[in-house]
Amino acid sequence: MTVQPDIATLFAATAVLQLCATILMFFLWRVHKAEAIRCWCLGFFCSALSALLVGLESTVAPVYPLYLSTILVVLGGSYFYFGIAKFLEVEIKWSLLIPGYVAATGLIVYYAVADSQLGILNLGYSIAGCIIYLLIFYELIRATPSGGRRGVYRLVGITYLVLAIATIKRCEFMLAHSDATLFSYGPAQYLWLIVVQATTYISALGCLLMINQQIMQRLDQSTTTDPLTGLSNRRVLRKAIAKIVADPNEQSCHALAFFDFDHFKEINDRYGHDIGDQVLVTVTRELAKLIRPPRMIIRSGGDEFWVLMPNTSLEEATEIAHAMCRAADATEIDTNSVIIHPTISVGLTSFKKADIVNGGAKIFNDADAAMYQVKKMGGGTVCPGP
Amino acid sequence: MVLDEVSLYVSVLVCEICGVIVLAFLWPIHGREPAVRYWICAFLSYFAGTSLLIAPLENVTAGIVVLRDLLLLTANILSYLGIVAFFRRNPHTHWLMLGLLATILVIAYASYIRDSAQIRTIAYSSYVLLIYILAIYQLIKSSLESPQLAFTFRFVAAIHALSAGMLMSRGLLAAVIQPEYISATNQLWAGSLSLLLTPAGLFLGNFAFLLMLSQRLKFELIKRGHTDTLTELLNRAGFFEASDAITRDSYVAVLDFDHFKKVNDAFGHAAGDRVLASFTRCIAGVLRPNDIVARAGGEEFWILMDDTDSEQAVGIMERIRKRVAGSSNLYEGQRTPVTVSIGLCKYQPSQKQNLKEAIHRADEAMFQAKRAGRNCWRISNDVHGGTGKGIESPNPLSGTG
Repeated sequence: MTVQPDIATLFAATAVLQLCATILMFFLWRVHKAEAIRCWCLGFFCSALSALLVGLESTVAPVYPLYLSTILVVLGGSYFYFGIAKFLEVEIKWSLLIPGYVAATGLIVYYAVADSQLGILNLGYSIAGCIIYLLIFYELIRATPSGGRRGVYRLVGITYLVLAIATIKRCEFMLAHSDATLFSYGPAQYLWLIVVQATTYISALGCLLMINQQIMQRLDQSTTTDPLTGLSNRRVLRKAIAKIVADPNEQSCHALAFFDFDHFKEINDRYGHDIGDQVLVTVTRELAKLIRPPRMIIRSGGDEFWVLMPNTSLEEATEIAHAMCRAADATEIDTNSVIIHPTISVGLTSFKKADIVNGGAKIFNDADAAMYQVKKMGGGTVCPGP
Repeated sequence: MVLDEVSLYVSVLVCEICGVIVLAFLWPIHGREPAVRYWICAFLSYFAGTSLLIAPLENVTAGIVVLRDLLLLTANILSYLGIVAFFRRNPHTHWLMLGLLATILVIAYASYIRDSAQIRTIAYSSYVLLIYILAIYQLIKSSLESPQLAFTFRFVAAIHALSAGMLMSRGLLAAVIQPEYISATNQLWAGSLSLLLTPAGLFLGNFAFLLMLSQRLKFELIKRGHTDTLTELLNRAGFFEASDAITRDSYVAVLDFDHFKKVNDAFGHAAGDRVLASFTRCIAGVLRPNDIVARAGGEEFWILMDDTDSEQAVGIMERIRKRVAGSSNLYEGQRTPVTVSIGLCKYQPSQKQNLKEAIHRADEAMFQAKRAGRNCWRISNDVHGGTGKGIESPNPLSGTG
């Protein structure tokens, strides 16, 4: 039984696996239509094509210039990197990529013109490839997904680090053996092919998992946020109130504000719901700048909002509420025909832990009542308490 | 082209190890899903089964062969159970187990008593084929039931069909047509081609379910974006999305609760929410399956009545108006009187009429109803522009109770 394995067979097995990854990514792209997935699909496809060309080389007489597969494999890696950059929403680092491309092109041209040894061609691939692989590793390792679960990101990143190391080892081997062909056996060759297979396997499934994790994260968020304004919803307010109840500090003073837009129904009726929505989104975006955590704005539906201000005195809260009124006043919404200046009415109440009974019904009603006093006076300002 | 088997075994081994690594990272993300647990077990069983093949080929005993068959059978059953759990269906476990028992008996008999690779292969292959067919049946059935998700289900079904085809060619056909071929390859592989494709099986065969999961997650996300949280009806985005399915002449209605602000002020927001939520009860049984209802925001609802003439549309609206007015919304012992004002407008998708435009006209008709004293409906009679006065409802102020 021969112990020395056949490199050509491994190339064929790699091509099969990369084709499978291409198929998987293609269907994933059909599901999500995301640009990043399309890049991954193209990346795997180029790599598969490259491995197939090498496989052909081993069986049929060389029917194509050898550097074609080198170009394809660099292209495959680049596409995968572009996909990662798009997925993570980071800039593509051209300043590092372009020197790699230039070096690779130079060496490939030198190989083709001077018809020199394979090591030169491999050096070209190794330089460009390592830059790409290390960039993928770098981006994935420093990525901070919103859910905080970084396991899969790290897994794919580290796989690419290993691939970069294997690529360097193979390049050393190729340069040391001037008579080496693509299929000469050497531990470095063998290692590289195995790592390529593992990288294909892990990165394709890892990307799928990253996509799934991202969707699950968004699903989680959608239960606590209002889809229109992106603010928290009532569920978050209930939780925050429960947190105050659980707080051992009896004496700390909290504030709750309730506000709604003046004549919002008229805006909706006159200009349509799209403009009404635009008013809500634009104004709340401005107001959110004034409310920093642990304070929070909550949309409870329609044009009604709550602002919870833990550990805030009534004076402080009144100041914030006045600032909110001014900010809303300063916002302009262009409807093509007229410019709307929306105003808000704010009702405030101050409470301690002991005031929260029955889920906080009393404090909600107090803030509500204060807001209606403002409405009665014509709106557009603040009433500090009922 | 001659393939080197040792290299292929190495390839299979690499894929197996990678598969296990991926599983370790899959677990914290999808581990809560019962189907995924089955699939993980299936992979591990498959892993163990194929690993036995990498043992030196010369001294394969009958025990190893039976063990391998058993592990691969278990993997197939677990993968099928995963599919059933994913679709929340009845797995018919006792039939599966009965079949498994019979197959094991036949395999043991063939291996230990008759020493016949032919019988063993036929028993093993037919049982696995049966499971594949069951899985494909479940997948196709589900793809017919939920067309939005059909795409990935069919993809996974195609992979199952492919595996079944490979099984047929290398197992059943080889055993029936060329019995000597099977024994020549020591009952393990019908050639290196299937060995070459094993990594593909380890990759696509065992992880294609991730695609189904991915699509279902995305579908849920879209659905949530299209659903109003309070009433669990569609929201505006969902309404427009669903309205694409309406191609016949229909009527669109805008319903607005009367004096809703007063309900909110008098009884608090919780009471107001309760009134809105009870609207779903009022429309239940009145609308037909193809009709589309949405909460457009605040106290305004939209209804698109498919394939309806004005008489039918008015009939439906009149019933809803009466139901709302007659519904008792008790809150802290006090009865909150609620009524709706309704505006109607014809919507003709066949004439490329814009739905937003139709809603706008229905909205105008609704305001006429409000001006006419509320708790009634008005119909916009101008389908192609102009400002008509609208047809009056026969009995504008009746039914307030």
